[in-house]
Amino acid sequence: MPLDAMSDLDDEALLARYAAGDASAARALTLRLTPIVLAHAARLLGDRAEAEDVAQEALLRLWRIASDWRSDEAKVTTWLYRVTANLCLDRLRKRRGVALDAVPEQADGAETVEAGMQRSARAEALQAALMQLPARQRQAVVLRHIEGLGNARIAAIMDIGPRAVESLTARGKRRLAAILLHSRAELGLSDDG
Amino acid sequence: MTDKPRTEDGLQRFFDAGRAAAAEPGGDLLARITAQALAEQQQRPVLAPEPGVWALLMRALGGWPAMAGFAAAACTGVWLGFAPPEAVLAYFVDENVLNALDPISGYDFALLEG
Repeated sequence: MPLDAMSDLDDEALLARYAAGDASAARALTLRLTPIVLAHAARLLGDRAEAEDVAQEALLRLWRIASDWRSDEAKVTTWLYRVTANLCLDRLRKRRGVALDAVPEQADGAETVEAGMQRSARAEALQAALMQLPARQRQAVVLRHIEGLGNARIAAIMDIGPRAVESLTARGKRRLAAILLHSRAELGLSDDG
Repeated sequence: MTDKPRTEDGLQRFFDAGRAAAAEPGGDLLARITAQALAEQQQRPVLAPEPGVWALLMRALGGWPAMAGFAAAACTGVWLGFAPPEAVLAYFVDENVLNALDPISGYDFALLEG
């Protein structure tokens, strides 16, 4: 089947073809899934080179379980988001040597950065701010507000309940708002949550 | 929270910018991952659908030809049990006759060993 005709097939159907030995399914899956995995890893790690390593490793694990994939189980992307995050969290653990729910230290006197920024500068600022969140808050916020997934799917990816997802995203957003939209001096004056 | 709508709007612009600036894979990375996918594919045998319990049993017993013979033998046995021929009945009437059927007795073996 030509590569462009494969665009009609969903991920699970493509994976079944891959498991059956279809080489063009291998190429189609790579093209479709690598951008998702790479972007997610880059947001969690804040490092492009490491994100590439994680993307390659996550997809290698997918190739290896393809024959055992049961189509009535989770979606391929749900599984991939989870594996990608776990690989990223392992690297973060080794990098920092601290608990993943610990809050990294912030510099005092951060000024308001929101005014007068171009889009790429905003993206960079967001990534820098995300890296100041505890890893699990970062994961929840990224899945919810950048990948655009619903709470039920995020709960399945993170292996927690929907309430825990809401709590993580709410706390993450408050923290991002504090970093990106308000100076620390303002926070001290109008501390209403 | 007095500032909540402004905060939401403000953050939304950052999230939109972040989504638009997603890291994109270069040709090298795609080539490496594709090569790995193809290599894994070639290493693993193509799996036929998993056989069910009955199919496995059939295979163990020798497949359809053996099953046909087995079925025929089973039917014959049932038939003999329901309507045995006269010759067969005779053997089951007198237990002394059963002993006479035994071609070699333990006594003969003892003689053979000498």
